[in-house]
Amino acid sequence: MSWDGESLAFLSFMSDAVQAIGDSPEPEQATRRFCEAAVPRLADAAAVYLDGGAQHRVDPGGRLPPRWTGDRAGVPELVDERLIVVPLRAYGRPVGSAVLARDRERSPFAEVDLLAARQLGVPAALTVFHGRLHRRQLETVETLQRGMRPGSPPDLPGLEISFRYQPAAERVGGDWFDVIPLPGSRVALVVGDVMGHGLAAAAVMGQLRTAVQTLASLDLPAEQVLHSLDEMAQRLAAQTLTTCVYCVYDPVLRRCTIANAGHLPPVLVRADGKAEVLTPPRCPPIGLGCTPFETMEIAADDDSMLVLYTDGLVEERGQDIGQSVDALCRKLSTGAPMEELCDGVLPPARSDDVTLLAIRFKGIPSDDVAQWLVEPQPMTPGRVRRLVRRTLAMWGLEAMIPIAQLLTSELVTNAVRQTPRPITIRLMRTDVLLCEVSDDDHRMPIMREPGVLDEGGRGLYVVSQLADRWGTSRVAGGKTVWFSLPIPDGRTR
Amino acid sequence: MTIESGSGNARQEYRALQAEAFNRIGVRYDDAFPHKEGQVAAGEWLIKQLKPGSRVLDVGCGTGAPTAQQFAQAGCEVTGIDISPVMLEIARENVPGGTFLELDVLELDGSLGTFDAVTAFFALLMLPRADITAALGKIHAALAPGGLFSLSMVEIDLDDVPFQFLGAPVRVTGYLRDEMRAAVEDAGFTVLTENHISYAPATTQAPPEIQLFFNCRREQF
Repeated sequence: MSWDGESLAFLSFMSDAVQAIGDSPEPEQATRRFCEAAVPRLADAAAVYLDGGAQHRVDPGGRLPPRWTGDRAGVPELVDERLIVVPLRAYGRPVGSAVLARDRERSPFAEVDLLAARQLGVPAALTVFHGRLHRRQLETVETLQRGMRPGSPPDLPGLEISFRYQPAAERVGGDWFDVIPLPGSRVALVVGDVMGHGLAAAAVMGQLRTAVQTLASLDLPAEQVLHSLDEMAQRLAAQTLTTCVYCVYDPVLRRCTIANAGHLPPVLVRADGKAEVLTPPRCPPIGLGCTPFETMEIAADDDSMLVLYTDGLVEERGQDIGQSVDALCRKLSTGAPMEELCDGVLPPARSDDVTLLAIRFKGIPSDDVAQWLVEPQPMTPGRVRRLVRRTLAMWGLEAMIPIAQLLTSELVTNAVRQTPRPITIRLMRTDVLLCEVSDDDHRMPIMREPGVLDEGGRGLYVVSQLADRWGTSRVAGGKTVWFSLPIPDGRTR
Repeated sequence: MTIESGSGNARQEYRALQAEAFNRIGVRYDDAFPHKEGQVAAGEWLIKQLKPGSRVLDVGCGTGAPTAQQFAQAGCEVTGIDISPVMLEIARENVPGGTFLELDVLELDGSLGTFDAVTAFFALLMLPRADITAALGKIHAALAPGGLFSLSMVEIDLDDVPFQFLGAPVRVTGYLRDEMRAAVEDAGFTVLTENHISYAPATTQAPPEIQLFFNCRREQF
């Protein structure tokens, strides 16, 4: 078999075009290259239609329609001597249509032109198919991650929160952050980073994040949270290392406890704008097992700011991480408002997940907190009613006295029944009135709807019906039952 | 749950345990309670009414800061008593001009003489209620008629209950304010002024509290 020059040239053109279309990383490029290959060599106008709409058109004369729905029998055909329609198919399934047209001035299409168009349609269809499949997979991953990914933190008294959460170009990552309310208006602040990238890291992140949430809700001490997380990580994600910093801020005591498992050190920005890198005890990352974790406690002065972040925020190729953290510290020392500071430290281009959680400590004035330890006795509920009356009167909340007295004494009555040891009563005025009753009995109360003739068991039911919100939490050494009541307008601080 | 006054060994043991807790706490006490505005104000209230050279007894003087210091600076002759030798050592350093003795308030017997003023800031909460009554009697006896007494307590409704304080096990006692006032009055004092302060310690090792301050005068008999 021998080839003449013209045939060789045509084969060479086809070969290059097929290669170029097949090399396209995205469906958009594949359809563009298809059209560019077809015009002018094969036709004067070409278009690829996906989902009925034109994905790409090279059509100087404007003869091809913006939409194309009729792909007829689904076989390539010479519709007439000036129009070729090639259904694009991949793995036996329709992907779209390619349409080629010739001007009147040019010779009509021949059979060989149809064959050439079909030939070009094969890589175009495959590339479009795979590109779309890839996108669907990414969307699945993104949907999953959006589900796992931290949403906006709750609005809590005693602090202001600012955060940035930017997964890397891969769109999935192992970073996470959390702001978790704890009993006593305390707040757990978490930033973690599962080593590695992509879905595997994100999947582990989702599990560990849930684990931290659960451990936090048990109100375990910070070092115990990391210890338990470490144990869980052995089971959930063996062979994976995770760094995590877990802090508990107490806006009443104005203290912050910090435990750090191999994570970059938090930065504290003082009220005067000066920033310093904190040095909590260095503990190994999560995932090694059997590591002791230690904590540091710092003064959390009002208007100072704690900044937690992942390495994506500071890591620069070829730069020492310590220098990068110092550089971050300098950028945080400008005294600018919190949101501005956060924007100012974000890296311009990123190759890693970037997470930043900044907490401005606002504190809760101690005049807005009243706390007593009382020994449970038959007359204790009555005494506590007196304390509630006195405190609410002092706060100018006279109208709330009856309901607060009723609900508090229900909780205290329950506690007095459960334990002979001291119980703690705490009243707190923020944007709501919060009442907490804590005792050392670990059994959590169960609410039930009392029958009409029941004499007892109404306490929690009454609380659930009359309080704005209520709940129970395990706390170190026992449990806390709490309720909150809205403060009528104009009485908030 | 109270320890019978006078039953020697039990009392000694009780006191030794309380003293040991404060030996362990030492200087951390002032770290955890750096703001003592209420206590300082009570000291100033006394100083305003005392002549230089007046004899003042500081019951449960702890580190000597700020109360014994205040009196020494005001030119008073200050004697501090405490059951913790470690605290007394710190007090002697803090207040070189003061006299500091390892003595339980219940052991006051007149050998120290009569005082123009007595303070007991957060000291009596280390005693069971029965002993608080006895301690108020001892303070009454140590004061000259018409002498001044400033007392602070934490508002808690507990009688001799185990409690972790700054990481050390202690037993604490207290009253709600109405009961506390009644106890002071029953002991032969007139309450002249009374203050309540919501207080947040600078540590997670102690809970927020309400502090009660009673400024009193010893009645004539």
